[in-house]
Amino acid sequence: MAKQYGFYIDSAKCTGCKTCQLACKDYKDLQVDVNFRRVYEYAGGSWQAEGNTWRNNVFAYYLSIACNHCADPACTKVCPSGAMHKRSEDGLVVVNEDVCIGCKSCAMACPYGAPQYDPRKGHMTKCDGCYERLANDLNPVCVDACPLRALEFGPIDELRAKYGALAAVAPLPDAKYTTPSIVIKPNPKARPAGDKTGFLANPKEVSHGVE
Amino acid sequence: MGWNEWPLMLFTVIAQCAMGAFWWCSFALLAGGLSEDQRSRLERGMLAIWVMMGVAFVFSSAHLGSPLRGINAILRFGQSPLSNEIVFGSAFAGLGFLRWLMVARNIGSQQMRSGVLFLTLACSLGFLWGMSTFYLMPTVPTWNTPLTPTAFVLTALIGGGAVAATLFAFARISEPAILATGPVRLASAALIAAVLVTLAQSAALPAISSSIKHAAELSPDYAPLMALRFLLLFAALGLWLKRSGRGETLAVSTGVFCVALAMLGEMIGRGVFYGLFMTVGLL
Repeated sequence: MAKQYGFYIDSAKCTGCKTCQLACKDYKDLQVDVNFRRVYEYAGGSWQAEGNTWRNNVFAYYLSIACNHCADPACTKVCPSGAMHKRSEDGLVVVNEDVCIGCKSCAMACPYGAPQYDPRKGHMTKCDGCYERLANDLNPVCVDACPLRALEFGPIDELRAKYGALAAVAPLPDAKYTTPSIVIKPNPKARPAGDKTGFLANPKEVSHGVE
Repeated sequence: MGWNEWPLMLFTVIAQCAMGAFWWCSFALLAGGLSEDQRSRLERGMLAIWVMMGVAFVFSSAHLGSPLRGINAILRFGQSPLSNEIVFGSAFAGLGFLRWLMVARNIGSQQMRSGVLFLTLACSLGFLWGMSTFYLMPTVPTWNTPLTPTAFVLTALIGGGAVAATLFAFARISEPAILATGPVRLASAALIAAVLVTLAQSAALPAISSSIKHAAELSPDYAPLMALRFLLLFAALGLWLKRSGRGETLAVSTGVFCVALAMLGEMIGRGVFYGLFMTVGLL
């Protein structure tokens, strides 16, 4: 099998500080509403009266998501120009910004919000796994920036051997849609994919052009 | 997503109406029975269809971030639905206009023109197929339903039927009955089907949700907008039936007014469709 890189995301450690997001934004020089990495806050639960006291089952946890460099990407299938492509050498999904026409089809198809339209450039942009850093034996900039060491990057089979195969918790979609190259260590409060008891607590922080 | 997709709203509705009109006009030309004068007036009038396609493509390029590179959109012909849509759509418009020129300038034999007509028909079906499959994305549950291509065909039959009836009026075609009243009959059936499609969709929406998006909440104005849409469509059809149902000939001006009402109605419906965009995940 060809090499496939991916991310390990430790949602048990993640505090939602967004250093990863900002380090990426800085390194890639992104404008305000373009975020190659986004931190989603999923929250829910309620308080229940128990005699004279109240007991809670509330939850809130973070998922730091960039591009999952899926084994079966939805974005490349709909791309009319082939600009959105999966690299054979490392499995990274990258958009060729010299070819992309900015039709935004990939942004409609991707259920993770990875491809983002940059109105300043007139075409799509996205996380490229910092492949130019990889060539120099460096991690993607988000991984090295994380103060909690909650992100790792490497060959996905090695990450799976180390951390297991969980690739979806709420609010992520079921992994069957695109086979994302990620491994998640769930937060103790994490809800399974498909859960409907919570809500996205920070919609404005993660929104971008398509919606 | 939604009303900010106005270029696609205009593109899909205008293009589908052009398709539906072309189907009826082709039928009229192929079925025979037209007088020389009717035939030549219809052939001339069909320019309207190719102007519509031209306008539709101008709107579609307004959707692109880099329209000057638009030609790259055909690079994945055969693999990407959007490439198929653009290749077949351009071929439909290009061949249709070419045939109009052949007839207007009296170029080519009758057989050659029929050949181009059949080729254009085939491309119109390819165009419809490309356009439909584009929206059937497995990750977009509100679009990935048979109701999507059904709605596209119904737009072609309603709006395109009105365009065809107007062109038939321009060509002074008052018989046979299939041409005089066929478009309005089929459009009436299509309008009833469109009501059923809307009912089916509104019944299905509450069941579609992800962890963070609920389809029924995406378009809070669903009911009033659909009501406005059907008001316009029924007004168009009522006027059209009143003029052509009793054997009167439809005036071209009345036809144009019906077309405008029907297309406006369908554009409102399409705006709702784009407003229902959501994915199975984070968007």
